[in-house]
Amino acid sequence: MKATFILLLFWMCIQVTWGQDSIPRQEGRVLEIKGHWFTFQAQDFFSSMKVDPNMLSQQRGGQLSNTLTFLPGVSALNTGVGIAKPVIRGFFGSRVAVMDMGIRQEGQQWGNDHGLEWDQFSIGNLTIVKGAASLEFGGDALGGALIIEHEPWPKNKNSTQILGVVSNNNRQRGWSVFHQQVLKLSNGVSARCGARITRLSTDDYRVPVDSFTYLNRTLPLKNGVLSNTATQENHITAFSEWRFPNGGLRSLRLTYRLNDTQSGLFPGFVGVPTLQSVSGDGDKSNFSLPRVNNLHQKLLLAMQFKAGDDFIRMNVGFQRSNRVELSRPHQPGFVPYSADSLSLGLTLNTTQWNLGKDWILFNAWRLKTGLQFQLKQSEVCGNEFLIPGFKQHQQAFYATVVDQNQIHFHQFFGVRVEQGGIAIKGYQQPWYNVDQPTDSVLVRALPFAKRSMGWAAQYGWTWTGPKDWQVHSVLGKVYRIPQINEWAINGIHHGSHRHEKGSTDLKWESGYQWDANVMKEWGNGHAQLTGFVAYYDNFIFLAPQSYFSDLPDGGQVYAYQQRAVLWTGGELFLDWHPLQWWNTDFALEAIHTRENTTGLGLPFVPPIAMKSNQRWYWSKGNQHEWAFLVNMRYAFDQNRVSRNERTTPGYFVMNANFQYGYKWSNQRSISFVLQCNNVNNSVYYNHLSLYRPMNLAEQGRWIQGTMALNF
Amino acid sequence: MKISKKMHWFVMGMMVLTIFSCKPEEVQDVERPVINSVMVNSVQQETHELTAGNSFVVQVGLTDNEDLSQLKINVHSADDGHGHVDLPGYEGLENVGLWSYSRVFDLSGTASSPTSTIAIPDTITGVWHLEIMAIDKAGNESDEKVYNLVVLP
Repeated sequence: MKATFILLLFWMCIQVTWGQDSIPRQEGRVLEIKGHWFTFQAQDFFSSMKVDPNMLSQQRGGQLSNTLTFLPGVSALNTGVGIAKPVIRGFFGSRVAVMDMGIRQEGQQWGNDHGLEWDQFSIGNLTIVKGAASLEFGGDALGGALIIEHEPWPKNKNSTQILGVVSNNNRQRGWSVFHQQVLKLSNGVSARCGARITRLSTDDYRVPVDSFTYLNRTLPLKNGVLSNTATQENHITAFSEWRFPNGGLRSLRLTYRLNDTQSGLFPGFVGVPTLQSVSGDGDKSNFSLPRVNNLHQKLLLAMQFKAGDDFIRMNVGFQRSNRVELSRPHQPGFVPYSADSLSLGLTLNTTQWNLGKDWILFNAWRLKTGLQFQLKQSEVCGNEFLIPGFKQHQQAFYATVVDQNQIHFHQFFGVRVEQGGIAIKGYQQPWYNVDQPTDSVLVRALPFAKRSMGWAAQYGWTWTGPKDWQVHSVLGKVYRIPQINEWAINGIHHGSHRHEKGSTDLKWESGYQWDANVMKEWGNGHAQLTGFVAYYDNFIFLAPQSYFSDLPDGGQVYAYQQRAVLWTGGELFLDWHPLQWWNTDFALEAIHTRENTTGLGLPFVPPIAMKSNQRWYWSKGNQHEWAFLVNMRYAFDQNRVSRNERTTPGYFVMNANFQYGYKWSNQRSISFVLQCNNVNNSVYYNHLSLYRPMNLAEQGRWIQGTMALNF
Repeated sequence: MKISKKMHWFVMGMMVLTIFSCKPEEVQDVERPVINSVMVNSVQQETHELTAGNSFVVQVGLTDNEDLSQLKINVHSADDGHGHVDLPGYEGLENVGLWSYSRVFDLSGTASSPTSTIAIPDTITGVWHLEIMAIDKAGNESDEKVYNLVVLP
C-alpha cells in the first residue's frame, strides 16, 4: 500500500510536468464557487469553506461547534449542550487545528469530553479547511483546520454590536457586546482598538424522554431534566491593530482572549448513576459535584514586515489553560477519606513563535517558507491521576512552491520537517489507610524522554476546464506527534469506567492522504463532489484490552495502540438558486473507516448523512429584510462501529427559523432570529455524543431567539 | 494538457483500485460475553438484604462464543455523597461507614461460574452496589450488571 502511494506520487509529478501548456504569466489561481452559505475555495494545498458570518447568526447552536454541523463534512462531538468540539470528516481533537491569528489554539483538547474554548460570537470570518493542513498549521492538522479571524474593520470611525440570546430548553440566556474604534493618526498610519465581552448561561439540559436505561437498570428523569448539567461561560476579547504605510513594520496586531467556562457534569458521567443522583437537587441552575472549570487565556501578537519586495510574517503567542475537575473523592485507598473535592487540576502553558516569508522566484513561482517553534509545559495536581506533568518542544521548517505561471492549470509542492521532544515526569500515587499515607505506592507514570523527527510533503494541482469545470487534487504524506494522553495517560476517564492507558512505545503517526474536488458551476447553481482516501501506517486510537484495571473502581483497560487504518469518504454538495427569493441546497456525506487488523471501524465516526437547507427571503427597499429557513438532516444508522462501541439508529431532524432585519443606514441595523430546533420533537441519539453510551437522547423541540443591534 | 487530464483519471482509477484491492481481512470475534446469572447467597434478584458483620456468596454464570478472559466483581457505596439512597422500600436509609471490594478472576473457555465469598464489615449500614463485568480474550466487554446490596445492622 505504502509503495503504491509513493509510486502514484512520483507518477503524478512526471505526468503533470510533461503535460503543461505554456501560457503567459498570470497570478496564482484560486478555484472559487460562491454558494449561499459559504464560499468554497480550492487554493493551493487547501480546499476550504469560507463561511458567511450571517449564517452563523441564523443557524446558531449552543456552541460554535454545533453551529457548524449543517455544513457538509462537519459534525460536533458533544457532551450534552455545553461542551462540544468540531469534527471534520470524522477527525477531531488534536487532529483538527484551530488557528487564531496564525497561532494554533492549545488547550486541554486531549480529552474527548473537553470542549473547544471559544466565544461563539467572537468570529469575524471563519474558514474551515477540510483535509490535511499539515504543512503550514502543524503535522497534527491532518483532519483539517478552523481558521478564525477578527471582526472586520468598521466602515466608519467606530462600530458597536449588542447581541442577546435566549432559549427555552435549558433556558440558555446571554449577551455579547462588541465595540471597536478607529484611531486617527498622522503619516497615514491607521489603527483600531476593540473589545468584546460575552456572558452565556444555561440551566440543566432537557431531553424528550422521562427515563433512560443504563447498565441493567431504568432510571427516571424528572421532567426529562438531566441534573447538574448547567453551564456558564464568560469571554473577553480585546485587541489593537496598527497599519503603517511606510517603513519596515507594516502591520501589528495584539490580541488578548479569556474564556472562562464552568460546566456541571451529569452524575452518570462520573461513576454509576443512582436514583438519587439523577433526581437532582431541584435547582436547575446550580453547579453541584461533579463539575469542571476551565479557564483559557491567550496573548497573541502578529506582525508583518516589508523586506525589499517581499513580506515577512511573525506571530507570537502565549496561552495558559487551567482545567479543574471537581468531584466527590471516589477512589478509596488512593485518597485520604478527608480529601477535598479537587480530583484533577491541569495547567498547560504554551508558547509559540512563527516566522514566515514569501518569495517570488523565476518564472513566477511563489516560494513560501516558515519556521515554527512551540514549547509546552504542564503541571498536574489533585486527588486523582490521569496524565503526568510534562515539557514538550517542537520546531519545524516548511517550504511550499506554487506555480503561478499557468492560467488553467497550476501545481504546487511543499515539505515540512519537524523535530520534537518530550520529557514526562514520573508520578507515584501513595496508598492511604483512612487519612494516613502508607509505605506502598502505585506507579502511575514513569519518567520518560524522547526525541523524534518527522516530515510531511504534499503535491497537488488545480485545473480549470471548459464549461466551468474545476478540479483540485492534493496528494501527500502526513505525520502527527502523539499527544500527552497517548503517551502517558493512566487512569479512569469520565464517561465510563474505562481505564485509559497510554504507551511510551508509540511512534509518530504517519500516513498518506489524497483529496480531490470536482466542481461544476452553472447559471444559478453549482455542484461539488469531494473524495478523500487516507491510509495511515500507524494510526493511534484507544482499543479495548482483554483485562481489567487494577484500580479499584476501574473497568476494562483501553490502551492507545497503533494500527494500519484506511479512511475513505466523500461529500456531494448541490446548491441551486431557482428563483431570486429561493435558495436550496443538498449535501450527502459519508465516511468509511477500517482498522486493518480486525476489519472493524474506528470509534466516533459520523454516520452517513444527508443535509438540506431551504431558504426563502424577501426585501423591501434596502431597509427591510425577511428570511425563512428550513434545515433538515437525515442520518442513517451507524452500524459500522469499533469494538464495544454502541451502534446508533438513524434519525431525521428538522429545524426552522425566521429572520427579520431592519437597516436604517449603512452601519446601523437591527435583526431578530427566531429559531425552532427539532421541530418534529424527534427522540434521537447522536453517535458522536458522549451521552450516547448512557442511552441519553438529544434535545427535543426547543426555541431560541436572538437579537443583534449594530450601530 | 491532454496528458494531464489523462493522468488525472489514471490516478483516480489507481486510487479506487488501491482501495478495493485491500485484502479483506477476516473480522475478528465481536460477540460480547454474556453474564447469564448473578446469585447472591443462591438467590437471583435485583436487591439483596444482608446483615452487617456477615459474609455472603456471589456466584456468577457467564458464557462466551470463543474464549472468556476476566471477570470483575466490585462493591462500592451507592450513596453518591448524598448520605441516603432513595431505593424503593428503603427510602431514607443512610449509608454509614466505609466499605469497598474489588476482585478480578482470570477465566478461560466458553463457560465459567466463578464464586466469591465476601465479608461485610460490622461497622456499616446502607445501600451498596454490586457491579459485575466480564471481558473475553478479544476485548469484547459484556453488558455490566449492577445489583443493590442493602446492609442492615
